[in-house]
Amino acid sequence: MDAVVWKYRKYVWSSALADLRHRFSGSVAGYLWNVFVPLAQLAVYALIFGILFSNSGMDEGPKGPFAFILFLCSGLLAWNAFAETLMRSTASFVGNAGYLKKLPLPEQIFIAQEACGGFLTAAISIGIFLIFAAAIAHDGPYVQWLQAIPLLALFLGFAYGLGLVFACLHVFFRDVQPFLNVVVLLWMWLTPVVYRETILSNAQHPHPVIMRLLQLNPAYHYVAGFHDSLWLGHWVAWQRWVICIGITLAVNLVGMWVLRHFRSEIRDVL
Amino acid sequence: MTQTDRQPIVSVRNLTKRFKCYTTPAARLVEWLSLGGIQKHSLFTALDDISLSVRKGEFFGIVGPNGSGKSTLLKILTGVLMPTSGSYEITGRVTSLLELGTGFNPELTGRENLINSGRLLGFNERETLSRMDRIIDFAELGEQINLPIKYYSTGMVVRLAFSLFAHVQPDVFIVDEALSVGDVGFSRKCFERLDQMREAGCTLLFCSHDLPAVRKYCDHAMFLFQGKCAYLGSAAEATDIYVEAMSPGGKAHRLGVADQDAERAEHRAAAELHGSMPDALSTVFEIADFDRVATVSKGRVGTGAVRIVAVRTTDASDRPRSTFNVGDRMRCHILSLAYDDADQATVSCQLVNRMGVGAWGTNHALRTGQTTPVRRGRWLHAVFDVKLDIAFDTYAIDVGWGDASGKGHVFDRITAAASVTVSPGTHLDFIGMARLDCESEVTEYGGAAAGLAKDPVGAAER
Repeated sequence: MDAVVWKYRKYVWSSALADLRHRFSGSVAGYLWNVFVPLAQLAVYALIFGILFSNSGMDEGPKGPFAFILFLCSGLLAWNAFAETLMRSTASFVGNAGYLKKLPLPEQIFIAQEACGGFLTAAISIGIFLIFAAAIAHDGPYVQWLQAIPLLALFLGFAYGLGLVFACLHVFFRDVQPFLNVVVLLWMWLTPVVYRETILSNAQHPHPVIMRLLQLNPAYHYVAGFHDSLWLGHWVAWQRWVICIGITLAVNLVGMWVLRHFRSEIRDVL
Repeated sequence: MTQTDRQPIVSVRNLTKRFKCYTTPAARLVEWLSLGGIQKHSLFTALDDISLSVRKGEFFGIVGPNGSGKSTLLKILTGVLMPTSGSYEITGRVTSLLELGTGFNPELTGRENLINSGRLLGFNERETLSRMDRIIDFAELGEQINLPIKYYSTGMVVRLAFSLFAHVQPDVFIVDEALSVGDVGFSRKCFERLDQMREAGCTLLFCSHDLPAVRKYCDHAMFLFQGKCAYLGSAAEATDIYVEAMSPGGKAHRLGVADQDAERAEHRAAAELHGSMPDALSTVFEIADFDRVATVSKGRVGTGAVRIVAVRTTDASDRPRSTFNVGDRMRCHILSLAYDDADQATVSCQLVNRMGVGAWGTNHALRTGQTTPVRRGRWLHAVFDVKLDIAFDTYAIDVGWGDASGKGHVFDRITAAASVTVSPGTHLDFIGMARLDCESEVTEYGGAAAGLAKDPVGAAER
């Protein structure tokens, strides 16, 4: 995201890997937990929405017994990576106070480390999901799936930018992370991640106000991009790319400004 | 020395650091929400107008009590904290032992950690790798280098960290009180390495409570007190002034005390005692000696039957002195006043080193087998004449009066009533805690030719 992080790229990458490796250290399954936890969560969602509520509302996309789970995974895996990266980033300055108090490191590398870790986990779980889609649900493979890679990078770039802001605030007010936890949960339900946006209004005649409000939710554009590419196998419209890139860049500029503004005081407070 | 060698490599100009202190996070929120309209913080000045300059290859010491701003200064020079005003300039690469082991991940092996820390500290990776063997060798870790460092002892981690830092050849090396962690052998090795680094042109900023080390290794030193530079000059001078100022009731204790009335009352009481003491002792005790003992309550226990009013260390001819060389004779004078009668009392004196270890101590009854009868209203002047055959260090002097009849009452006991610094001097013919009385001899005999042929220890291979 910026030049300073590039200088520390090797450290960021190796510690993101080490962090994934050691997050569940001491457990027998080890690294597998990183993949197993999100997949288990998906299974629960699939069970509740797919079987209890049947595959209702799935008037688009692939049909069949896996219709809902295919939809669900295409958006939720990415959302989870986003939410987790955001939460972990927010706590990262406080969590790495030991380093920041003693080393003249650029603060943002700890957030970059979380974003890289999030990218790795999401890439693996999405990869597993796509193998499942192609092999068991007979959906794909499509070349359009590859769009998920830049989309994921942009989505986590968005989380990185927000993370810069909230990590700074969290240093001063430890309320930020628990507060954000609630906000992110609410945000997920305000974003059509586990449901189709069409259930908010009539699919043929979208409600203008609701659609306008959805456009104002920055996360919607990324999630919709994942739905387009992974679920429907479509090319993501160029307007959507422009919006996603724009949001990521804008949030990062704000984040970098906030960090620069508070950098000195953060070090004092930690 | 050429002209470029004399260039200052570290220069600090009028550096000031203030911290904003908020009583609660809510106070900060109020200030933010009012956009600074409501000021809720108080400012704490950690460093006040500090200027210094250190030349290439010079060892510079920073001494001062806890909270005097030493770490803040070093953190600013390392780049961890940013100054509030003023500026500093460092030419070349700075490495700081503040960072000792902080870059280490307990799950990674020693070797992995060396590479990882190298990355974290911005060292060139190839450089770290090429020096890997020497680093591991210096740390004396052997095969354990391939174990995760969570299995290391604290000392091992410190050794590993120091080795890494000492072998990446920084231009400026900042050491903050870290070298005392290793064992004696390693500690000495560290200082030897520092000497090598000095020869290679490395500049050292050394912040420590180990005053003899500061005197021995540093050319210049600064005595920081409450964020201000109290003295800047030769290392010997700076440590002397520091010891003097920090002894209980010393000059430093007079600074920044809020309750000036109580202060003045205490001073009057001390002055009164000073005025009424026996004339014969007026050359030994100064008013300052009363000031720092007579009215202190901190670190003091006892029934008060006898009260110690002044403590002073002097040389053999009773001239005040608080820095000695190993092997010198020190006279510790303890002046007391009896407030009650006691048939069997005794006076004690103990030297305690910086680690809190009692290096030596005795009491008069223990030494002579005779207790001292004490009568109300009498002055008691005790002298312990000690030959300082002891490790160079700074020692606190604990003094006391107590009952020697076996009831064990403490009449008065003061912890750290005075302090002395023992420097290596010319008698540095020993290592360890004590300079024991020792004779050594080596005798030579002929006829070893037959034994050499067998080479029992493989000396030839080495």
